[in-house]
Amino acid sequence: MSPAPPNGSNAARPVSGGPIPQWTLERYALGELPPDQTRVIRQQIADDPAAAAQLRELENDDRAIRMRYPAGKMAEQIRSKAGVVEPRRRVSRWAMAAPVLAMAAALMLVVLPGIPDTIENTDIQLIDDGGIIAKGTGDAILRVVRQADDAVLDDGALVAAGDILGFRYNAAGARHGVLLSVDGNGVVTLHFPPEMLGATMLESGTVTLDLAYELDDAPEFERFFLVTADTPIDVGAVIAAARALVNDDARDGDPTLPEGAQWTDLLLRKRATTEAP
Amino acid sequence: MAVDVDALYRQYGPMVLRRCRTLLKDEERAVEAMQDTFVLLIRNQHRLDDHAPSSLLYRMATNTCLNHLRSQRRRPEDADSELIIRIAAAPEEGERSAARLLLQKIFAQEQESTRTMAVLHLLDGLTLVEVAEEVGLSVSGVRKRLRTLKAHVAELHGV
Repeated sequence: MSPAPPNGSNAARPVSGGPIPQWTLERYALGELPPDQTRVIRQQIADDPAAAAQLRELENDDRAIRMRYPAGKMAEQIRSKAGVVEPRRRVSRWAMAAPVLAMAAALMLVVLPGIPDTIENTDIQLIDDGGIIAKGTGDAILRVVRQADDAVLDDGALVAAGDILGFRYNAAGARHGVLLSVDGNGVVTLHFPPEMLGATMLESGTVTLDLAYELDDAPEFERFFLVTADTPIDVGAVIAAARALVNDDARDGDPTLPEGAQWTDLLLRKRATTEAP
Repeated sequence: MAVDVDALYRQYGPMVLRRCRTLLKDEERAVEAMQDTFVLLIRNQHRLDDHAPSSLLYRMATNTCLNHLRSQRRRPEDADSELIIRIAAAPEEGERSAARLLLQKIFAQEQESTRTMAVLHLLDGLTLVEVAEEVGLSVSGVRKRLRTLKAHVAELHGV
């Protein structure tokens, strides 16, 4: 059964005597049109000079594009955008302010050398002993370690501006992940991957992230989210989701994830500047 | 299997760029969208099977351009542009809030964009059957998802 084309259009089908629809011509030129349609188009090009001219025009345009945008340069830029050839960065240095809270002074993200990787990779059973995870929908485990005393911080632990944190995770089999945090100023900070277009692929087992993050003087809390999935994650969308949460309840709210999404969080309370350690 | 970006670009780059030019009508933005399309492909390489990558890239390019248009809120220059911009601005089926949309994007690779289907049907002229074949849904499924979206572009002549 073949329904009538919409509004008289028949752009997707080879039509003898008329111009070849662009999408059909593209696939014909690429050799990816089904055999029956290929035969029809080949015949149309043989019979119709206008159709043959269409194909020549497309082939000329192919050449012009390849000349103007050479493959080597384009592929390099694409890989760079995708984070494929980016060297692994040792610190998280990318931060985004929430729309209304662009208070620059509060957004300091200090670039530091990576903390020494003194935490050996361990089996998941060993990392599971700390009761770190407060809530969430996933089995992934996130640990935050304070560099000064190598303390593994429980959910709700007190921290202070200037504390330098490191991170460990066990993705519990998930292949992709994003780690970010939201602070009391509503600022969303991306920790992994280092850039929005970075690859989200996670390593298996218990992994220490090669980055250090210094807490600024944002008040009240810093809440970390580890979002995991079995497929690559749109980092920008996760950041935007966190920013949406800022407008709702960044401290205690649950992100509304579609089916299949997994998330784990850990909230650190910020010590007031007048509060004794 | 790692994606061979060089080879894919050599083979499909011109097709993707032409698609982006058609939808965005701006060379600089088209090149940017073309690159973003390949980035999307790299990050969704599990969707790349052995046959006809052109179809996947064509849909990805369409979706990428629609996202560009949504973020730019550009003024239409002609009827086709107006149609595309209206489709880009229309809500997705089942979309109830901005936050939900953003979170849906995380798993966008698992669900074909209704807007992309609308472009294939309303602009490119593919029949519902052909759209269904392109996106791997049933005809009734495509019809259902397009029904609401079409209402948002119904004011246009000929739609």
